[in-house]
Amino acid sequence: MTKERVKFDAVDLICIAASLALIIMALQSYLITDRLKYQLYTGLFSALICLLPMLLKHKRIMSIPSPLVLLIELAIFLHGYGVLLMQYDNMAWYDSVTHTTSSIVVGLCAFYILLEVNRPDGALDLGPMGMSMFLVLIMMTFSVYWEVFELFVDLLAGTNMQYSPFDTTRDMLSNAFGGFIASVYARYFMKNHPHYDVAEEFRMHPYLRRLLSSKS
Amino acid sequence: MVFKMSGRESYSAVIASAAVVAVLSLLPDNIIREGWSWSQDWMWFIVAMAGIAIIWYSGCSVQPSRHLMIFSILPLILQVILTTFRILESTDEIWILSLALQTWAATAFGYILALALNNKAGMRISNRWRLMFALMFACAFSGLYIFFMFTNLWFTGYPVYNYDLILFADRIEMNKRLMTPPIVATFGSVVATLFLRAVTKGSQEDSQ
Repeated sequence: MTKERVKFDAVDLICIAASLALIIMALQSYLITDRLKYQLYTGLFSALICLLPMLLKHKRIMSIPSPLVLLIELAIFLHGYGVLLMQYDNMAWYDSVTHTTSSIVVGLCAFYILLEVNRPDGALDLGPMGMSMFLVLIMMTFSVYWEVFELFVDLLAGTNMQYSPFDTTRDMLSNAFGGFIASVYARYFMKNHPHYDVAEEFRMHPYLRRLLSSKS
Repeated sequence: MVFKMSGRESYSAVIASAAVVAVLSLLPDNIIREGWSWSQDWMWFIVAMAGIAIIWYSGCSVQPSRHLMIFSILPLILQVILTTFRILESTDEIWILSLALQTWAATAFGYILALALNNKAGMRISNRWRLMFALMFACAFSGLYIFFMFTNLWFTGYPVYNYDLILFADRIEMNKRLMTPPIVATFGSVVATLFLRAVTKGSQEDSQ
């Protein structure tokens, strides 16, 4: 039995374009600034992550819905752009925008994972309200873990990941806001799609489906 | 006393302990030596009130085991004892210990809330997911604490903005102050959840 070919579409083009743009910006940044390693690694790592949704699709591991792919690309690109072209330093509000966007993306990813685990006969069966509650807690926890991680990296490696208490508090607020948006979306989505099958819609690889089923 | 209490009586004991903690948290640091000031422990007040609300919400839907009740009431009793030291001589060590007890209490309340949601709100949350909920509940409170810490630092005149903290050492020092509650909660919640897992394993909570 021959497998159906995975089509190359506009979203794949966007993934490649974002990746190329980040590589070009990384090279440009390498030539004109003295923060070589951090910018170079950030640029290259971000460029690689931009290709991930496309690779997952073409390797038939999973096929993330287009709106979510575009949001992921936006979050990664904004962060890479901010680091490589110094927008985090040039624009006071840039950090808030990237934190909000990233937390929406993380919240949605957490939502779809929970949705796959959420079953009437399983270990977890949450309604829309319960799902929202879980997502808010997940996002707050991730935010706390991230800020603690930043401080420990600064302490151990002498880096500058965490700026000031004001900056950290603003980041937490942005994350909370993004998490709130994700939880509102989750509640709306569950009410309107009560029988949404994540594994089916994401065209997950059978091994991944079995793994998620066994862990739930 | 707790060992022979009924579910309702032990719930009343938790509520009473939480109420005492809430009232004591409104006393400022060093009040005995220095008199009144605005250094109340507002986060403990919030956690204690949240605990009361959760216990009240769970009502008769949750019949807690003896071990779960002990796990819930112990941090509150210890905090009452610790407060007697705090109002005499408040130190960083006492504060950090208080944060650890707060994380412990928040983990317990989070678990009871998850149990109540399982029994009362039409959800199904297995014990493993309840433990996860409890851990995240405690971490979420520490996230809230960051806002309080920032306000406190700003109000007491510490440098909190980027332009105030040019030197690396100053920045690290201020961030350490801000992040003490989340750091304690990050590790404390894991320890508390592991203990909670042991407490609830094989118990009536595990089978619900």
